[in-house]
Amino acid sequence: MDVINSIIKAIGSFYSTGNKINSIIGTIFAIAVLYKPIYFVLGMFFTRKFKPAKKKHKYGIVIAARNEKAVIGNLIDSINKQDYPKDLYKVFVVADNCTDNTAEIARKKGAICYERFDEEHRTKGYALEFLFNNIDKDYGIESYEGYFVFDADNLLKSNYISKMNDAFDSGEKIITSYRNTKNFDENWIASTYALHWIRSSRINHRARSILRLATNIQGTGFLFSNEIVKNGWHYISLTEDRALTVDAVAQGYEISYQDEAEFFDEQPVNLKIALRQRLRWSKGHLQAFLETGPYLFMNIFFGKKFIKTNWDKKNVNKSTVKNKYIESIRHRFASFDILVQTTPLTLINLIRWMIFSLFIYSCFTYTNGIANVSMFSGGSYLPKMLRNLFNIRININPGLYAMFIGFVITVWFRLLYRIGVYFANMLTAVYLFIIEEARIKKMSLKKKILYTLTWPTFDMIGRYTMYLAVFMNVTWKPIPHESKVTIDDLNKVGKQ
Amino acid sequence: MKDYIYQFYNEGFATTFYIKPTNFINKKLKNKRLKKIILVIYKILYTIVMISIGIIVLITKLKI
Repeated sequence: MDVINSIIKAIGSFYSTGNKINSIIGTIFAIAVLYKPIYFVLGMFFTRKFKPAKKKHKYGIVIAARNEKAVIGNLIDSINKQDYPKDLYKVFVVADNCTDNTAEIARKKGAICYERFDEEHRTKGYALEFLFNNIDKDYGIESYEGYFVFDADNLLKSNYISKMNDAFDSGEKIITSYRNTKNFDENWIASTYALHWIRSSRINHRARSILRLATNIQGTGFLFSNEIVKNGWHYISLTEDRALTVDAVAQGYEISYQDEAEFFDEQPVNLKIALRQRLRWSKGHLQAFLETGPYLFMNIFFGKKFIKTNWDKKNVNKSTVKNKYIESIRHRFASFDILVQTTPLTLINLIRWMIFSLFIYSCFTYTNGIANVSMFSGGSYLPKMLRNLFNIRININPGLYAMFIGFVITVWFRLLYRIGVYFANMLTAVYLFIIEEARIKKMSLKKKILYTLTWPTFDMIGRYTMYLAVFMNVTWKPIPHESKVTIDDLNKVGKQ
Repeated sequence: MKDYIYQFYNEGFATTFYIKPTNFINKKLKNKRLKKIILVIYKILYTIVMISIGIIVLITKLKI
């Protein structure tokens, strides 16, 4: 017992120093994300626009599909309705481990379809690797100047390829586009995803495109130059988009954003499926950070010297920034920016909180007790507000009971902080509903209020799936898509 | 630069808080001179309010 007593006392005596260390780490993190508000304000008003293209380029459109008979036909229809010369694009589909007639539908609609059966290697990355190998074998990878990547549940606006061609023609090598949602108002789960994609566009893509940085590729709805797959497709992890983003940034590529190119995506409506998908994203996020984070970190200091996968050594025009000094700063900052985004800060913050606040503080209260601590401690707006309303103080003498209460109130303070964050996040939904009014599907005020109330659960779920992803073995499982919505239906809604 | 000024008065917040009100003013007011004055005042007001919102958001977010 004496030994345990001494250990608790020793840990508790570290409280003051631990607090200082924790504050220093917190300050470093706060400084690291100090530039984010600038993104927010830039995205509020501006985005990068591209001049109409002088040349119409030739593209390959690649679609990875697994049992997508309900949606693949609608996607190919929306591609066939593009206002872009038909002879300048070709649709390639990989029917990956399909047990339905996805391949048959794709072929009937005019796509070139390759069938793949490999239950062992099941990620979308493997399917794309297989598809690009086949395109190279049958047509030559350089037959097409660029490749679009879509999921089978997507639908494209009729000017999508034209608008992306404008950006491609301006010299951009990797371009993402505006991701809207087919089933925004189907239920609260779909709405949280829909708002998340819009938030990404508003806050990250728009600002980064103005600053000629690199934004993050988000799985689907992007275009890249053929040089990227000259030596094949390399990304087979759970989240191939993150791995591709990090590699592109490390090599000095800009990843631009074309706000005028809009496509629609189907979002999960089932909580179980949504949780499964979020867990996969979190695991992929962690993998991408571990695999490529160190390369990005080195790039901040040493330029483009540390690259995981080199796509095309000969190509030098990876960025549209010509001045070499400005390009060097641009590349280093883009590396830093993506590193910040890839770093699992929520996980690091949880560990910090568990060590410094929960564990050490509890031990501290064992020897020092709790003296005059407010029931509503904390620096955020909610505890401050509650402190002004209620002056409840806790005083407990040293001992095991104090240690227990110390533990409980630390959890309570965290909960209080998180509740505050939850309410503050609702403002983001209000902001997005107002600023994106022209693009968000028309819906009743009642639904908008409901979705505003539920929106913060998106980040909350992301936080907990990130914690779980550390311990869980996650495998890729398909997300079922059943929406019968066509691009004509969405156009009709837009005109109302 | 021209592009960004265009965006400021035509997209995002502008669709609700600038284009809609100016369309309303255009439709309701018959007196051309009065309409012009009100539109200029509204444009100045919109510009000041939006820039202020931008600055307030920036300061608030930096503080957080």
